[in-house]
Amino acid sequence: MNQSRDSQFEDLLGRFLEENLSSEETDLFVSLLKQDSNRVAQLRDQLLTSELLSRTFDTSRSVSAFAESLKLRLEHSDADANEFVESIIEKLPEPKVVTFPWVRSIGIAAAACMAVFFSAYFMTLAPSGEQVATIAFASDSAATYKTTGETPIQTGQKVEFDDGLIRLDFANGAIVTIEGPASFVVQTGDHIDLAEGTLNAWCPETAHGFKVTTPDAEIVDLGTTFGIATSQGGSEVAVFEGEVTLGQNDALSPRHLFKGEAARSTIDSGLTNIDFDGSPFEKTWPVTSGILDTEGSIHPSPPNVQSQLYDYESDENLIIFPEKRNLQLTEKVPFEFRGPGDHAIQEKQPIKTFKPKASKRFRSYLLHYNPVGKEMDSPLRNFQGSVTFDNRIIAIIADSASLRATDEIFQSEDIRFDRSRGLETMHGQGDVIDSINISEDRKTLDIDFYANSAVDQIRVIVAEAREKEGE
Amino acid sequence: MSQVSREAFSKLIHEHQSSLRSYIRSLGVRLAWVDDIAQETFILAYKKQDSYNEDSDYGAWLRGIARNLVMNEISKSARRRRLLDQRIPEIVSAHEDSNEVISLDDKEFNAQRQDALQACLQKLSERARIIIEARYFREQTSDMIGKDLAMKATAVRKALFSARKVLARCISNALAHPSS
Repeated sequence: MNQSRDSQFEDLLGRFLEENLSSEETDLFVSLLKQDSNRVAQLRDQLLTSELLSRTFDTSRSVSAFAESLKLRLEHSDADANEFVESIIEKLPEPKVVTFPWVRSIGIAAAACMAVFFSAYFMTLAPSGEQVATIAFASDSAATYKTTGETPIQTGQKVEFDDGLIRLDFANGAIVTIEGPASFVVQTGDHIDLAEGTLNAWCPETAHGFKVTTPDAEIVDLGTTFGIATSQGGSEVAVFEGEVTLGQNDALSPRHLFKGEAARSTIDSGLTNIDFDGSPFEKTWPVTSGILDTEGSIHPSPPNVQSQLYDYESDENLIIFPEKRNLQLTEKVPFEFRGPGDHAIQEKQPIKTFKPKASKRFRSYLLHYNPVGKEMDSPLRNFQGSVTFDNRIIAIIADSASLRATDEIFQSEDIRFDRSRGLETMHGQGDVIDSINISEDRKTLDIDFYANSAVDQIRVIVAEAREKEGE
Repeated sequence: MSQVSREAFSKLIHEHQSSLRSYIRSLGVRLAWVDDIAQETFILAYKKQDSYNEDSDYGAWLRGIARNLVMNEISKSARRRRLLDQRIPEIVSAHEDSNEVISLDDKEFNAQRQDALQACLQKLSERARIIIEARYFREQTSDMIGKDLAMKATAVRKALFSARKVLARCISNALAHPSS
């Protein structure tokens, strides 16, 4: 290696480790590597030392943090039905041939019983075999279909149920919840044919172009949260965020629908604008948003566009609603509480920060008490309730200053709710203590707190469900 | 290994996690994804325990799974961002030093390696230590470090390259001659 080439290689290597090379520079770097095996050895040494240094300085990569995270993943994984596992193991040099591992693991007789049992509720039309989604949640008659762990959905699969909800998490990141009575076919990994049912979908960037066809309409996502209620009378489409195109299956020019807009499609009358109404999606919208269950004084907010949610008022209940999701956080985030167990809210709560990993994605929810009217004297009221999410709670923000500091991160761009107030005060009464509890699996938040006439809020940061898939 | 308890598997995780994570990183996986792929490797290993031949090296078996997972990344374009570049794993694998890979399996060796790093960091110049700390503790880029220390970014990268090289040599010497 000549000296200038050495210097150039070393600088490229340094920037390569910082993930700061253009594609042309990466090509040059790879070309230099291929020319000299000493450079490959240097790269390897630098990678190994870099890894050792990272684990030494970054406490989030400690052995205990690694083991804890792995334990959680092991508890929630179920790969015996996962062909991916087989494909990886079969590539090993001397694998033992494992035939029908799924059947073997649950027992042939049990598998046969389950197949008969399921067929009473669902009709499967010769799926063509490609797994494109999993059932992440199901309730009522739809719940019969969901097995322990992930239940795969294949292309061509038809699903029918009388009542309840079913949530499909697609491999491309789309999350779709359908309420019965429903009948639909998963045509491909980005296309559902909905004959009947109420559907709510959230599509991240990776799922743009996701399509839902109904007997009288074709809806294509352009980056959004939208809902479709389909019956024999036609289909009603409402857009909660972003944009969709709505066309009739033979129409040449589909119509664009934006946030807060809605339209009806019928075969007889074509497309007509209607007022936005989120109420048909009261059950599907929370589940699509990751709110799987609420109890006591906590209720999901009525489905609406984001800008309306912060102004929702109720004397009786706390509402919970989603804020931004699929966020890649680059800055340290202030918080007050994290981890399972009871947490009492002190008068001067110490504020901590966590630095999110670059590879992780997050979303947030606002637990929101906003009594009808403003700032009038009223007696303290006690609220107790719980909310269960589809993924782990990462941190709780309950202090006014922390809430304000994170508003810009988690509130949608067009919203600036400037009356955020946390739970740090004791309402002037010494024997009143607000407290929260995070469950062992970190998915359920219990609250017990007091409020009077002011806005009280808690921001809950939750891991994005599909973070590990590398979206 | 026909069946292994969670406790026994936990012991295996503690014994092999360090070497496995190092190995995955050496294949050119982005730092932020190393632990993710290491965990996927352990999960696959746990689920497919019955595919493991008890007579073979468990560390090598884990590495085989990890290598396949990394190679699998190459074939999935959407996931390439878990790799620094999709060509690197094959280039590095082709030059794999079998002796070094085997030494990675020695858990005592790994513990000593971590201890040696602590000692070797003290032997760096003060400026090199500051730069290493800025890069790995505060996770600053060479541009940011350069601004703080009034250095050109290229000089920072050169200092980092040299510091890592010195540390690698120092660790190697410390392990070869523990008494010194």
